[in-house]
Amino acid sequence: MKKNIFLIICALFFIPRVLFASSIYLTGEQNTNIGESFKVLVSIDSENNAINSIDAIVGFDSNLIDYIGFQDNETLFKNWIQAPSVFESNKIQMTGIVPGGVSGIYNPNQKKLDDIRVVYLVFKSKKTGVANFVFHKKDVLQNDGLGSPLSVDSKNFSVNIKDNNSPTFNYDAFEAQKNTEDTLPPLPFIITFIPALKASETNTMISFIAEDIESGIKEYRIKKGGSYEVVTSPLIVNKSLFSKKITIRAYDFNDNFTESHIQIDGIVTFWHIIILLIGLFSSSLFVRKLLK
Amino acid sequence: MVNYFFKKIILALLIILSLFPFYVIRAVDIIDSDDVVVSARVIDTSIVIPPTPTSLGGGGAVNLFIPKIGVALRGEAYPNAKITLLKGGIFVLSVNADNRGFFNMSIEEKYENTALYTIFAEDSDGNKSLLLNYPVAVYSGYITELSNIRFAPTISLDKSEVLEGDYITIYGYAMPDRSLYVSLDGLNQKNFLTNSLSDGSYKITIPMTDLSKGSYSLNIKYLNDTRISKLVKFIIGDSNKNVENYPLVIQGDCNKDNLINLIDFSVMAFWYKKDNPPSCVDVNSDNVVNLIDFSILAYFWTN
Repeated sequence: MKKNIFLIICALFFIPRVLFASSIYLTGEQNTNIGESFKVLVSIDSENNAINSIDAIVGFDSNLIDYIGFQDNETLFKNWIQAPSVFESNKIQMTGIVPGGVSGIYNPNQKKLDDIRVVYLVFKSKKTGVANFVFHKKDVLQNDGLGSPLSVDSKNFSVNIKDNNSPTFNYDAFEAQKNTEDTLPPLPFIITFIPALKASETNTMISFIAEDIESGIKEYRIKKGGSYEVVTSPLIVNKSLFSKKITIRAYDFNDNFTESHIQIDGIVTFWHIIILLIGLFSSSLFVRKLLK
Repeated sequence: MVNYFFKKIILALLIILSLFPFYVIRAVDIIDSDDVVVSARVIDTSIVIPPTPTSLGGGGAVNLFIPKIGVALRGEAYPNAKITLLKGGIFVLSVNADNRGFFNMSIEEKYENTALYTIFAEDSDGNKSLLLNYPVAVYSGYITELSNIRFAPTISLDKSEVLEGDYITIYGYAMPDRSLYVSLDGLNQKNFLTNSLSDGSYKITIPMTDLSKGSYSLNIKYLNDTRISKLVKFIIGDSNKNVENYPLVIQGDCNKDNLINLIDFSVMAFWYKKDNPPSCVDVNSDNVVNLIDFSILAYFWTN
């Protein structure tokens, strides 16, 4: 009996501290139907500690759901070192930073800071069952100039997928109507040119980050001939003999896109050609004089 | 019987005591870590439309209510500092603080949303503060106000390397007539106190006696405050090197433009998890570019 009381007391001492530790967790609709897409929000309750970087891996039931993509238009992490993407077929890795760090969202309707929204992960259900989401990695670093880790607990999440009993369910029609509200293309964006640097031993690169206020940025594509290939930022661009124009398109989840261009100087510039022509002209005059 | 009740009372007391941390933590919850106060107020957005003359002799004035949305930020920087506001990383406006260091800025919004507002201050010498981020929920019909914002003092050094046993001078700007607390960290730790002058400037020369050779960092903050300045690093070595000739190294600034921005981020992202990274991207010198390097870069970000 005494032992039990001792254990209860120990547990009571421990519980409040656990309840109010920093945590990373998932939220979203807990019920969905087959064929429907749904969003899961990754959030951090940092207990007012300023954080600036996250490296997390979320596992999901790939036999029940497919990962479609991510949306960061209503969230705080925009600078992705590794944008949320699938590896090993059932895990999503995401690594990103918030320059300057954040402690939470200032909301005048709340007495405390709202939790930090990291990113929305978008899935589509394909079978009935309970789809579980589990954190396999949850590194969160503080904004202290030293990269000190913040100890975080993780809370897992699950979504119940039901059969909607609709034998005539039309997936194509569903896809067509899914994002009908997003008709706006991503906001105009800038392509930044990064010259080759000796100190960092890097080649010439370009960097780009676009923003879409509705469905979010799905991917970037570069124009190659008549087609567009998917690329990520930063992108190495090799210098060509002549100046060239690079076109990047940012696509949102409803395939609206915004195009941006950058002119990259070649090894041979306009002035090189002029000097060459003048040289050729003068030498031809000199040769002609000699022949006369 | 007495023993039984005694045990019950002890148990009840222990249970109450065990819940005590719960209330302590809740009390901390309602106070932001840097004492910034957030509030929302309805502003008078009524406009009076004057009567339009008609053939029937005109009508009365119309009082029309137009809901406005906005964000206001106010607080303390440095006398005559330039305060810049970014929204989602894009420049919005700059204002100047008054000659006592107080600033006040506001912008109008079109939609109800949650946006990331970032501000930084630039003192009279052109030294920038760290970025302060305020993700704010704004509501239609309200001006969301953030007050009590306080920038930590700016900090500069006269030397990037100082001879063992010699002196180093720390200077910068703060709010006028305030007590300041300087922390030196490295192989040894030391703290110093100084005061800012009426124009907000401060200067303190500290001896490097009793300190071993090696790398050190310095920061400054207001006495009894939590927000610290930028960390500046220097070396105690065999010679004196003035910053004019040997500038302080900003960690992660590979293109040496004295800015930490998307270019440095992209360069570091290129080297993420690759072998043998160059020293300028491996900011904590552990021979790998990982999340810690990015966290340090994010801390020193200048935009």
